[in-house]
Amino acid sequence: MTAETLIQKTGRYLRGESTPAEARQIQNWLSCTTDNNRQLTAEERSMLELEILAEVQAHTAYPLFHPKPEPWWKKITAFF
Amino acid sequence: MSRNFTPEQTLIDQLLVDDTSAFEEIHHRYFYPLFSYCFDKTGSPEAAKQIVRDIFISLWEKRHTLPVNFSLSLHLYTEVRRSVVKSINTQVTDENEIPVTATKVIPGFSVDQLQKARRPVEQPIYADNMATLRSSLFMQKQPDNWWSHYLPSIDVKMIRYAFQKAFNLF
Repeated sequence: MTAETLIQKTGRYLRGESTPAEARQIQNWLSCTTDNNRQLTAEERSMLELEILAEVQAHTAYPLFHPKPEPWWKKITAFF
Repeated sequence: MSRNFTPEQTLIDQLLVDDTSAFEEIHHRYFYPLFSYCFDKTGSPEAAKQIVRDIFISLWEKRHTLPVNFSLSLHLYTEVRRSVVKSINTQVTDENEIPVTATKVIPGFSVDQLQKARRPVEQPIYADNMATLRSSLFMQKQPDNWWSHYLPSIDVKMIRYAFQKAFNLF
């Protein structure tokens, strides 16, 4: 398959104009998963999570409009 | 970050009332499988990150319009598949991504590769791991007097001595 064919196939699939055979081919490709041995370490995974979450927060600004309630220990500390 | 075992439906209910902790918990649970799948398909960490980010932004933006019988895993499954095809479509047109597309994406559409999707999912068995497991479970011979580890170290002489002392008291 050439790159041009792939562009046309995926374009038709996204527009909902692909033939049943094409749709099956793309769905089969999506269902194929290889043995993924590239496992991130816990630190890398944590960093990746924070990175993506920071981008989501920057885009939606949800911490600004929906701030988290203060935890109970902070309230008690503030009281004293 | 504190994590919990709240059921998925409860998290969705909390998401409807703008609970950001529930959203972050959903993100924590699903971001890595989504990222891993996207990275496997697109071959680009940047594209995978972008797809995951867009899916979660869309989930947060549409939280008030979620249907009653909303299934989070089904939603994410549908979204990630659609986004991957969209990403591949743009990746093919991008000149910088042509080597990745030619070596990784296009061979995946061959008949041999696609036939893998029709086979039942198999757990990969690694020979070394299985050999180690077998040897640790079954092949290890127990010592002859293994029961002595589970019994208190008292022999018959000590018991007799203890009885003698006890009776002498009376």
